[in-house]
Amino acid sequence: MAGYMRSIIFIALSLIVGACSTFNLVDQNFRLKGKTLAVVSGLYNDPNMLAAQYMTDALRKNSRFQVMSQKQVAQTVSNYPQNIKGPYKSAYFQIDTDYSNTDIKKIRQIQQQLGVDYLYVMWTPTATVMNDKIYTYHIIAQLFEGPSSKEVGNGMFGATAGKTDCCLVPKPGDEDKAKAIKDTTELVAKQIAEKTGTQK
Amino acid sequence: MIKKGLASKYFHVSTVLTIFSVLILLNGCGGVYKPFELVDRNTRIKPGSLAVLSGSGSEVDVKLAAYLTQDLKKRSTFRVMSQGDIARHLPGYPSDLVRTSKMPKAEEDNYAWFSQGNKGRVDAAHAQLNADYIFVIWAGDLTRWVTSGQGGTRVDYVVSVYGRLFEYPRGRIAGYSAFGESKGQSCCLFGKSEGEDIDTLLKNSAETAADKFISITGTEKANK
Repeated sequence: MAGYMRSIIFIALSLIVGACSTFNLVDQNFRLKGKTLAVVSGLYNDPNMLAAQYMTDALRKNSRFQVMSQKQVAQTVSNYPQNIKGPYKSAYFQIDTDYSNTDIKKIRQIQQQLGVDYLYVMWTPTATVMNDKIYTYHIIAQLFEGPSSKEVGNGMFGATAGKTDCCLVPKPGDEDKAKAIKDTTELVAKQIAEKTGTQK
Repeated sequence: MIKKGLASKYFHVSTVLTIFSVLILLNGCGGVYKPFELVDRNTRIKPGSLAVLSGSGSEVDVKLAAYLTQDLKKRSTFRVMSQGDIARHLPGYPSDLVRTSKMPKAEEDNYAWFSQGNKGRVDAAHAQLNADYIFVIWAGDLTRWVTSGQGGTRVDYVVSVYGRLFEYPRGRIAGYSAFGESKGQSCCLFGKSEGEDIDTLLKNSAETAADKFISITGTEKANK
């Protein structure tokens, strides 16, 4: 009975995570104004930096944006990566979104330093583990258009490693978790390209 | 490949677990409930200056440190440094500079012990802060328990809290904390968020540690 209940709850949780909108345009009449873009890690933690790196690679592969490398971003922005106040009120087991909470002044400063038309900022403020077997990084992101850093898109998604909490299945390792972030960023990058009309 | 430890902690989500499991967690991971104890009961803690350091840069640790600072400042005779003052003396604080997440378990199980590397970090912080006592506080796990039964579903948040009190200039561990605290979910209805419940949980945990700390050290302010 306990196993049955666990499965139901896990399926429900998966549906909730799966239902997250990975990328949405704020204005449906969005028109592209420029083609340079930089991905920025909104927090100074390893999964966030890894997500920014993979998103950079994925946007280069799947979109026509000219995407700045993470190395270039680090060389141009002082103290990168740094903690930037993100679009959420709290982030423990889930991200409680508040897109108006972002430190827009800091975002504008970074975008001006980088001199790019678009800035895609990602935050990975929390990670959850279910029964020691299913790891999820919770990610939230915003797309800003320069030079005023107007928010033109946003989205929230999870990168999950581990498919089941069955006792016979080993825990996902660091490589599985990194792969989950890579696969998720690939999917999201495709959506960004599609919705901004920059598909390759 | 993720090489370093997480700055953001993993938060555990568990479903359909017995009351027994919750009780174990409430008592801390080792079945211990010690909001604050002295390593040696004969130690006399003299009121002086005190800095509470967040074990890491994670939001949970940062909030625990902030609430404990607030409580001790208000209710004890210690001269407690504000978190802002600490950040001014320690560039980058709060961060993993106090306690790395690479060797946490042994520090959670052996209360009078702190790894050499992390002790070095606390000593380095002390060199900048120059306080008589340094209290390092951190959360081991933050867990959401979902228990389903015939009466419906119940959600509880449980946090395991750990701490070490270092006495200077000797730099030895004078006291420790190891306990669990829980709070039933009230969020998600009437517009309340989960963050508010967890915030209350962390505030209550800091208060529990402060109560015992003040009573054991005999440093309660007269005009509380």
